[in-house]
Amino acid sequence: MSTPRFVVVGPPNKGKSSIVATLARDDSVSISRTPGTTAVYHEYPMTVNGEIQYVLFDTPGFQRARPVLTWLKASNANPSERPNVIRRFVEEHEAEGKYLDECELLSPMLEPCAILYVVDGSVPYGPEYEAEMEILKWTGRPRMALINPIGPSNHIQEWKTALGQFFNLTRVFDALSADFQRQTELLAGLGELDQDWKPKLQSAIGHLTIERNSRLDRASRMIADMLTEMLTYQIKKDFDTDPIPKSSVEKEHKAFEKHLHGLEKRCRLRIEELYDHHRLQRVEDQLPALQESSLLSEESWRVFGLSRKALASLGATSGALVGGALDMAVGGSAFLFGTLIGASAGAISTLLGSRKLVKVKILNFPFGKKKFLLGPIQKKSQFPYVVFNRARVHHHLVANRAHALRGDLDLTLIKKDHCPELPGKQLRALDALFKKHHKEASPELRNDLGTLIREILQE
Amino acid sequence: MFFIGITLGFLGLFLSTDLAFAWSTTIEVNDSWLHRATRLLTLPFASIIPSAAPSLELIESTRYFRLDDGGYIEKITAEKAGLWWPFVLCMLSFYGVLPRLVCCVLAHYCLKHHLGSSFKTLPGASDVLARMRSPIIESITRDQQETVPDSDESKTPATPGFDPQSAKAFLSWNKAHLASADFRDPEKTPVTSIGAPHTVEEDKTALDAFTTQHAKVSPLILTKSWEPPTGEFLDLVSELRKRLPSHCPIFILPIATDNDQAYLIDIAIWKRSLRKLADPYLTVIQQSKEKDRL
Repeated sequence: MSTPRFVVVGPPNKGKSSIVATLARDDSVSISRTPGTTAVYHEYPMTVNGEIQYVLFDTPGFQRARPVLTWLKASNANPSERPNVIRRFVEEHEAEGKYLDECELLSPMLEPCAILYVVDGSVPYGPEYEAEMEILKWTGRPRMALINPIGPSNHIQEWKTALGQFFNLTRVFDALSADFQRQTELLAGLGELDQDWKPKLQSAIGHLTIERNSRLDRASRMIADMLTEMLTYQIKKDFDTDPIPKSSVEKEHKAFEKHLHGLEKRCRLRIEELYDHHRLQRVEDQLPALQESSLLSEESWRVFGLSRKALASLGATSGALVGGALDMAVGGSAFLFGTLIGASAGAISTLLGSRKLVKVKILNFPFGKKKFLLGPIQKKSQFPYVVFNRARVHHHLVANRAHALRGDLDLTLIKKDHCPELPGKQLRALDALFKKHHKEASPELRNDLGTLIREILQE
Repeated sequence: MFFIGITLGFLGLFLSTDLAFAWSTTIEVNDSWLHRATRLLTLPFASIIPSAAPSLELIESTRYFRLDDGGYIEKITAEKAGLWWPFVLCMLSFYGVLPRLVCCVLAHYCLKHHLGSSFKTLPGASDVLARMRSPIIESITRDQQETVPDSDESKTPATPGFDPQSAKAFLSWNKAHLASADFRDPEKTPVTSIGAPHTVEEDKTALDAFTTQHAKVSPLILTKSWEPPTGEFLDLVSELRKRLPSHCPIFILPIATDNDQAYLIDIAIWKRSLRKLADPYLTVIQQSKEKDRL
């Protein structure tokens, strides 16, 4: 079975490269408003485990269609000889500069292929296109016309009528807004050009769908990991001073927030890379500031690195040892009262003396330290929901973004369809999982959150 | 210690290898005791394989197997000795092979389970597994592409204040004049049509006639603003320059349709593309109603 090959041709600046970028899911394809950006043809083979499923060719636009057609017509060739005349044209002119673009765009057509002729449906049809379409007829290859509306005006019907005279199949395909479903629909439609190619194209669509689902799985896990990390994050720090200066507490708060921002940014970057958007520039708002009431905050003393409780136990043990020695000295006649009294006295004196002990310094090093604990995020906080909705919007925009789009990804203009309200059942499940994270963050819990997020993202 | 070791080793070896010493003669283990012991040992499988449990009679009759013929004890026949084999086989299978087999299966299962669960719990393990399970799909080119930067618009020459209606000679490229009501009326604006749908030969004839008629007049070429200039249009301008005095200005007016306005970006493309001709007397002029596309 031969490999399907599709040569994307058309006038300059009508979105040929955009269509290739979207179908090949390659954001590195050079797309510019300047005509002549594509000077030579480029191959985009779609492979599954190294096996080619189909090949797309991005080509330069026609520059001198009428002179080329004049040359072809001068041969007086009958229809069966016309493909050979095209070959002769390429062979005779590829060395000279004048018809460089035509030779580049016709070269891939010398091998078995189908032609995708791209026009802009937002501008009027003109007679200058006829020479190009006539040349394509001379190749004898199966052809499909793609109307790619670049601007806001609508001349699609006019184009359909004109293209219908030169092409068997005509489709409207907006390369900048085509989501995954539209892309696969077009791929399936290309199978109409040659029946032998249908199985390969169907297989390619199957693989792309599996990959799409796998990406959704992975994106859900990435978001779940981010949320788990945020919900369980804590800052623990020791301070020598009592009370801890307000500026230091504020600094820790900022560090806490910075860490959360970093987690969100990392997650966004990973999702963009997952969907093959490697050059995306984001316009985004910062995460909202965390209110003090949203964070658990604790301060406690430590002496020799021990908490007050541990210190009291240590004092009690020491006292008990001394008391026990006294008990032994009197041959047990004290009925272990020495041990009991020693333990109590040790514990009480340690507790009372610990506050003084923490201030004692030897060689300018204090005995005690004040332990500061910030986080995790409180159960009642709305913060996880805010983060989750931001992640949903980002995922929606990235997963459905065509690779031909070159502008910034604007995350500040949120539309309702980017983040529809969750049904009560899912909201309750999400709430329960968020709350469970305050007790423990087991791998199972993380998986459950990932599964729920996948369900939500898929919808 | 060394000699204790030697003694214990000797006894162990002797008892386990010389049956006659251990059972028949020297230690003299009682037959009924041995029968009880074998019954106990064969308990797990005796009900399924009764022949695997040796009877007291068999134990008694096979106790002295080294005595010569003619003694007071009946000689052990090969047939009788052979009755021990189910016992030996079942003992080997039940106490030797079966526990090892069970251990092996159990260990294999436990190892697999623990390895699996420990790997799955590692951060990012699910991602690695998903990637390993999914086919590798690629569709990007290996060709090196040069990114063409858009030119700096500030270098575009300033457009002089030229009123298109004041022009005396009009050329219309690819029927551009039909797009705008300002130029559609041949009475008001007589245009010479070149480009499509005419042939290349017809263009030459039309151009000859035009330059003969307007030998020293600056021509104004009407083009469609939304179609970028092609190589063919640049060829036309070069041809026109050859037929006109070298200092004669040529004006190009990219026009919009009646219902639309020319976009600034399209005008910029026209200016940028025509700079390739390096003709100082070639000027792209603008209609007054351009708008920004984005």
